[in-house]
Amino acid sequence: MLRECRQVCGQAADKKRGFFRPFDSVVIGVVLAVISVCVFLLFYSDGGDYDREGRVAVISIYGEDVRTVELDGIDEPYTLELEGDMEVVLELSHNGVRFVSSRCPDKLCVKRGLISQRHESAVCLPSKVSVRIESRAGDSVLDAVAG
Amino acid sequence: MRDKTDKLNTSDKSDKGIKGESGSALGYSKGVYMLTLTGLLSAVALILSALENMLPDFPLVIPGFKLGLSNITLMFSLELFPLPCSLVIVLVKAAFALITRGAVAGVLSLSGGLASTVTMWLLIRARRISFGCLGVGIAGAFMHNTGQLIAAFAFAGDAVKIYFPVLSAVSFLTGTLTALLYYIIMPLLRKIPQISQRC
Repeated sequence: MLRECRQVCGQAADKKRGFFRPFDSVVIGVVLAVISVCVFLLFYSDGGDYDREGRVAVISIYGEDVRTVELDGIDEPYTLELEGDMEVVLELSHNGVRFVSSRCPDKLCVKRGLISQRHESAVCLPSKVSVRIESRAGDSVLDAVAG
Repeated sequence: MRDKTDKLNTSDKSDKGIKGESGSALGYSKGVYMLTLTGLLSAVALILSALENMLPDFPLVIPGFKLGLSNITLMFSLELFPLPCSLVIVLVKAAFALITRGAVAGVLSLSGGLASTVTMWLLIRARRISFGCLGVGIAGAFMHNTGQLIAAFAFAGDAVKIYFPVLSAVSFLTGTLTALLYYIIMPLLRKIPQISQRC
């Protein structure tokens, strides 16, 4: 039987796979390297300016930025209804942004809660609406409704 | 694929002289055996993912993050059976997600599943160098995340990118967990005669 399986699978199936083999460290190393490169590109490529002032919430639907709101300029929290594939309601306030409700099945976007820090984001994949917080210093057009 | 199994069946019959049409001591042909086990493993994969859906969300992690327990099934099937068997399991899982949780979930399941299955297949089948459970598990979890995030990026754009480092870091932990479980479970499964007699 084992010989048969060797024919099917192309290797000895009776050999037990060990928990750790030396080449596993290569896998771990590659994964770590990819993660660190991505962290560097995502978080430090903008100079790493981390003061709380000047945060903007960028709202996008279908991957296209539709609205940019300066969070520090908000006095009263207000809600915003958006229509992607499904309808979602966002609440914007001085503190940050959160999904209040959504018609999507799993409500993962609502569970995400308030996002307030730069580089945070909340996504509702079924409706294809997402919000991310960026710093004002950048090339994004402020208070503009684009697209 | 079918040709290969047929050939195996005949060779089997000739050197073992087993009952009638069937190609094995268990009394059924290799095709039936593969079909049954693939169905069984698909069911196990579905149950495992349903089980982890019931677990409460980790407060630390992004909502929707899962342990990836069904990767254990995939590792098992990749180890013992040819690649198409595992691909069928991935397809069944994706179809199930499509029916129960919608089109987006289906596409995410499929992209993540394909990426991780192909990666784990390469690592398991590597001839010159051998990887342990840990390497296979971590690579599988990591590629599952990456495949899903690439699909999610296509849906929602820039906001998704930020999830990548966090999810990848956590996939390290979940990959280690699934590898450990696999390492514990594998010897037990081999004791089942229907599995061990074949492979």
